[in-house]
Amino acid sequence: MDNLIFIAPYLPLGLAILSGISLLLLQVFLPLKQRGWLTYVALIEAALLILASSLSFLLKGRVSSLPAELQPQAMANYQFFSNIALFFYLLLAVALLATILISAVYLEREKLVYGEYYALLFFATSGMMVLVSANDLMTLFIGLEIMSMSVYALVGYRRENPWSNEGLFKYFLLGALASALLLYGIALTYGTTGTVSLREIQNFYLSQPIGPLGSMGLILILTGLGFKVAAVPFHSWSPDAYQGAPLPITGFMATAVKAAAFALLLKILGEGFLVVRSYWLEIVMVLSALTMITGNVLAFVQQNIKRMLAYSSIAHTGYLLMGLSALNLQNDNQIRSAILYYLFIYVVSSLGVFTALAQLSGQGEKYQRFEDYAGLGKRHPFSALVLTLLMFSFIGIPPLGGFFAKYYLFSEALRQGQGLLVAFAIFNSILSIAYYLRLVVVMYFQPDARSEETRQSTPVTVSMALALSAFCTLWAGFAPVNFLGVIPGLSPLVEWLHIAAIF
Amino acid sequence: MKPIMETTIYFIIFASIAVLGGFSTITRRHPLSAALSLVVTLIALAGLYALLAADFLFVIQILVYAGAIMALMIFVIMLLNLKQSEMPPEEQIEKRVLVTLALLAPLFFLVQTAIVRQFGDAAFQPVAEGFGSIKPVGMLLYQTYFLPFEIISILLLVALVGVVALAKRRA
Repeated sequence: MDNLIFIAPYLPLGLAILSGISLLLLQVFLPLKQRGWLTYVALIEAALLILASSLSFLLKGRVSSLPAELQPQAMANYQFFSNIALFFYLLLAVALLATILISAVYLEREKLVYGEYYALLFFATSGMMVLVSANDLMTLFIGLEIMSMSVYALVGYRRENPWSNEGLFKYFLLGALASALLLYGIALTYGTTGTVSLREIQNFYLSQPIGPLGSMGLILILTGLGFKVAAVPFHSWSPDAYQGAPLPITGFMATAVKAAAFALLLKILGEGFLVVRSYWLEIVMVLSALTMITGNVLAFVQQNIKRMLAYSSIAHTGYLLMGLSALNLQNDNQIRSAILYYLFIYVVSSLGVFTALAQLSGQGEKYQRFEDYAGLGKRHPFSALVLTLLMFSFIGIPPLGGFFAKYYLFSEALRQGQGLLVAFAIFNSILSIAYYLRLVVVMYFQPDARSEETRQSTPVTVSMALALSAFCTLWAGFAPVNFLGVIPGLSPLVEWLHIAAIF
Repeated sequence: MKPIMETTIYFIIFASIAVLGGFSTITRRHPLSAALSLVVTLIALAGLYALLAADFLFVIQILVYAGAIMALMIFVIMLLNLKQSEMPPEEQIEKRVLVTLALLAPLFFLVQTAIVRQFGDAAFQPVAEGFGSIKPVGMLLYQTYFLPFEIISILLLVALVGVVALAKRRA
């Protein structure tokens, strides 16, 4: 048994790839009528992926104690067991499972073929897993491309829909441009340092100045990554891609893709280029401020909920970029765990929002505008309640998870001397109340426009996903109080994140 | 002033051909002439590998890129059989190329200056024995960069599946 332990770190990645391939093969051999089974297979495989991620976390301590001959040589450079990778494995697997849950109902309703859909989701996840565990620029780039390619195809999955095609094309062209810039930056960095390994790049810059070519490479890498996380002014693809994508995929992009992109930024800025912090600090600060204000202002003027959520996601990118600007060389600060915690809360609550929307938007996603949600509090009291809760969490109302995520992030950034930026972020959070509350007001206080329509019942899976998301948001908020001592408090999670954040 | 070495002259020739080929790839209107211009660029790059004495890379560049991949691209273009009239109109292409060049010129100047600043008087060591021949390339692919090399197969698979998902005819 002990001889098999060394497989454990590669288990989640291997399982994601195998699941993708098995789903591809399965749909070839299943008759057209029975393709519905693919959903169940995908659900089981996603659940297995969560299990494998947990397993590789549990076995973590035991691998490094193995004798050297049991550790595969060629893989020794790729530290698949870094704590931060394990955190992201779990987060990604959960986001994948939730996305498949939403998609199951959605695909059936929209009469989309199952075919490659689930396989592409699994491949995207495997790309993200490569991304979060890789330790050199080349592997990072390949992981990023696997993720992007799969998501391009998924964004354009509703081929008859013109919005979908527009979103796909904007995303694809700008994504390709971003990849080209990133690759050029990596090439210039390699030309300067003679290595692609993040650790060796850091060692190189410890002893030598960055030089003109190196700094140009750094700026190009930052630009490419700016496109990928949709930071202003590189955000123009994001609202169209969010609007064009099928709703479960919009959710997947807002959660898993965003988390993976930030894992990438955290790796590149927080590890490879941390010693040359003075070169990128001001760029990241300006990007952060621009991203926050643009996201919040433009979210306010949107009439379409999907676009509003796209801009709101841009605003959250701004807060997270502020967190990155507080990274520093001393490892005593908790800014990394604050960023991870923020991502965790954001992913969990976004999944809830997109689950509710995928269900409520109706056949062909015809209900996307604010006024379509008038009177929702009467028609679907439970969904409306959960949506309200999650919106409050996005704003950062105290007893909810979103508040603690923001509090943790802002206070850590403040401790690193980012006072001005934190003040700006708080101002922006206040601005964001306007559009988040607008949805709540529309749901509860506007008369029902289409009461004559037959009310459709909510499937159990959707209700369960909603309840789970709401519970997590509430738990993350109330846990610091740890009332009654029934549910374990938040402090173990925060402690774990703190350990996880050390590379 | 240093005497200009013979290899420098070859380098300038190959590099100019590569740049001209690339330029013509993006300015030709007909897809077939664009693809053929790309072949010119790829062969010129193979010449640059030959200058580095990287014999294996040279052969692979000719066989795989200039040979197999370009043959595939030309097949696809000929299968599509686009007529001049079916192609989307491209108005004022010369003007747009000029504007783009004018916009990119400062960037080019910047990179050029940076390279001269950083490597202007640097002394380079000659590459190791056997650089770019089969054994070192194989060692790099199957030892140092084993994981990324294997993972690329997933990237290719995803690209293939994605294209099929977006382009196939649905019943």
